[in-house]
Amino acid sequence: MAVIKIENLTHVYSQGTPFEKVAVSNVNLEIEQGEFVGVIGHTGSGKSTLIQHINGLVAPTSGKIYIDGQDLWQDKVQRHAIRFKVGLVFQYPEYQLFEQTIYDDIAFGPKNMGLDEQEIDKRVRRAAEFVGLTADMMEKSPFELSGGQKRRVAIAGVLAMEPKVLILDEPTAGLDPKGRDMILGQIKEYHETVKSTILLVSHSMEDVARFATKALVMNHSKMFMYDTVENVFAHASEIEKMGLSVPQISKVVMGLRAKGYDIPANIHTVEGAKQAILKLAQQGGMTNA
Amino acid sequence: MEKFISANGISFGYHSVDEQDKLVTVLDGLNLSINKGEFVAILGHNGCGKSTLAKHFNAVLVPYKGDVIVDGMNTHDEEKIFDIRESVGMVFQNPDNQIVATVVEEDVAFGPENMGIESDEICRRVEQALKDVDMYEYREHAPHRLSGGQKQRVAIAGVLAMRPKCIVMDEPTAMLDPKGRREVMQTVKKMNREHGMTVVLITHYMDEAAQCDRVIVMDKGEVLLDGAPKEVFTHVEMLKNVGLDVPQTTELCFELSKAGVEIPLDILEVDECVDALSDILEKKGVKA
Amino acid sequence: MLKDITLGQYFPGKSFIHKMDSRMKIIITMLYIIMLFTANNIVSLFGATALLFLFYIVAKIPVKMITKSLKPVMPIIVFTALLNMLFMGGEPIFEIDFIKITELGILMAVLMCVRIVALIAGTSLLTYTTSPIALTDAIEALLKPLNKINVPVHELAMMMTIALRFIPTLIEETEKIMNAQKARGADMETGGLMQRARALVPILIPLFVSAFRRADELALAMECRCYRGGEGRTRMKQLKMSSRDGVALVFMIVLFAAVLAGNVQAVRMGMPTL
Repeated sequence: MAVIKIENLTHVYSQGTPFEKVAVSNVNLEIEQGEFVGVIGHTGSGKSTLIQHINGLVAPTSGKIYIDGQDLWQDKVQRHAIRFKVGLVFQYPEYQLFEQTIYDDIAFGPKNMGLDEQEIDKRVRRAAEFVGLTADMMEKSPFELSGGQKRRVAIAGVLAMEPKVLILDEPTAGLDPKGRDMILGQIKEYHETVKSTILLVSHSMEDVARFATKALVMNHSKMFMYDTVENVFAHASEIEKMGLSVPQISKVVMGLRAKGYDIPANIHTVEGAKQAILKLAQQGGMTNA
Repeated sequence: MEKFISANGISFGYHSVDEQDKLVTVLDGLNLSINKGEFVAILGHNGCGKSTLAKHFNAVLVPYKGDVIVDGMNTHDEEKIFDIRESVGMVFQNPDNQIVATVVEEDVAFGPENMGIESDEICRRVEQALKDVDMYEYREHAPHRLSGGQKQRVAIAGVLAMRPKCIVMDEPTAMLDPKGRREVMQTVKKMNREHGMTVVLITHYMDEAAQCDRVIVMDKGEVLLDGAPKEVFTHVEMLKNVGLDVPQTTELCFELSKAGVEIPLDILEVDECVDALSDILEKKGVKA
Repeated sequence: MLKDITLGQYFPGKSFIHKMDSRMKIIITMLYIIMLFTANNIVSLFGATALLFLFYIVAKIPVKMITKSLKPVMPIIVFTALLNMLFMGGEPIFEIDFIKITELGILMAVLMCVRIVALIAGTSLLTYTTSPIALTDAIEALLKPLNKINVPVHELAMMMTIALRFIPTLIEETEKIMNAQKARGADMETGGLMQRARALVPILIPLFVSAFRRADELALAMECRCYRGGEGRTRMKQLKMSSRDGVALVFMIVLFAAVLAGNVQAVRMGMPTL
């Protein structure tokens, strides 16, 4: 069964005013449990509005959203419970930290869920471990940390709620390459261990190519595509027309194919390209590898 | 070439709050010079001291040891502080936090107003600066209604209106989307190529560094590598060790050469890479 | 939209009143207020109010905006009217128990209401036709003499400008933080007063932290742009008085004189006065 099911979703901002704007237009989508989905689209394409619907922060103008088969907007009590199944990490989440200790901040979500002390403690420690926070840091103030560490505390705060679906809105924005790889690695590990569904909003096609299995492309409030990463990047020229960029490697592969070399089109990572080129060279019969 | 900024053995540190006033060194006897008209990228992981260095270039910070000479003026000389700030403009990461006024043109005028320039001249400068960054048609807009890339261009115009000789940018694209990043890079490149402006660009994006004339890599408060992008990016392993990246094409060539393929290591662009690869494949007798 | 709150009540336009120097607009508004308090009879007050309608028409501001601006002060108007109506001497036309309503009382209540309405509508016209930034500049220029007694006029104006600039940014930020905490299960809609007050903590702390960070960065950016206080600072847009402003001032003085003459005449004719 699909963990997220969206039917004919449309959202219009400030309806009936001069500022009226269609943010999401007639989106139909089913995401299976356990997928790692890269969500891409230019600013204003509707991807932020779409993900806020999945968490129930924004009500649809029309259409339906089912989480785990339950209608999100059927009734208020249920919505509160369903919302805990979908964790949402906003952009620059470090700006939402407020507690006196790192431990308390991570525990904020689980406490709101009404869990008992023991369960909260277990979850906080497990979440902290996922993002590489050591036990001796737990009593420190989150405001003493570096930017990258703060962000990991904020992400842990959502992980501790152990949602079935985890949505991250550009979790690596503004970080240096090392901090970026660290966070993405931790998210990947979390995904593999917990087997939850992940939606990763990113401007970096390189990151989507490296980590995601599926890609969801939004363009001008409509869903352009939802398919495997390979199939999505095969539409490179259309994606570039939307003002997005495809990974440099995909362009190299396209260039080689344009020259007539027999290299598969579905290669989007450095490792993949290396293997394919070595294989091709070997077929030439004169490889010195 | 004529030196515009030179840092001669500069050291800088601050007193740690929690560890009994212990001195934490950020810059450690650093030597560096930037020539007039150059387009320089400074790379380094967070906390390597690159932002601290940038703040030395316009006397926001002064070294406790060594000298920074900007356009012939020593930043230790307190009387020259405003002359230095007039000749070296700064653009920061968060576009929201450097725009002062509620109207675009009023904000661009802020710098020249502080310099005590007369009203007619300010108007001319504001108009020119906004045209240079391609934001003239937005002159009467409210800044908070603009996109990130547009706001950052307004911030650049605010600096240009002061007519500096050099512009130092501290991660100006970190908070922008790809479109905003392209807009800002285009604007900066144009200022450098067409107006001969000296540009120092601090960034985490390797593709931006690849577009510069010169790349400086910093680590632990010192200069680790310094040279043309093609040269610097061949040090793939060294860059990875200090937490940095290289462009994907460079990484591919590096990986292939590790696997025994003879391929040049200084490839930054896609077309260059495709040509090099097809050359190699041809030599190996692979038919296209 | 919430984000546009700093435009305040400003209606952009190109009318005679819009084009006037903002300093002159403030001066004339002050004169008008003084005049309203001087006018003490029915003819003068209604005359002054009628002219105000004319100003609204000239400025192309919809007259229904007056009713909108009056809404918040309605209780005061009603209270004042009742007070005047109930406690004025004279021949009662209506009487139950201690409540005694006289003809004079009704007249006074009406005059008082007209005065308040004109006061609100007059000052609103200033904010409808002048952008906040022009108002700030004008206040700075008009208060400049206070510099001599060490009032930091430039700094106050700068604070005002920065506040106007950052209100929309901080409102947006508040919305973001609220959403982020809601996504972590924070409940802000239910519970008693104490519970709701406590629910604000996760929003207010991040907001303050962020405001301080922004202030810090802004100060650095201003320093880099050679900001060193008001001394030696010039302005791009200089406030300039034109013949238009002279005409407006003369008109206002004539009006004032007419009201004063009307007052004298009213006393002479024995009209009831406030």
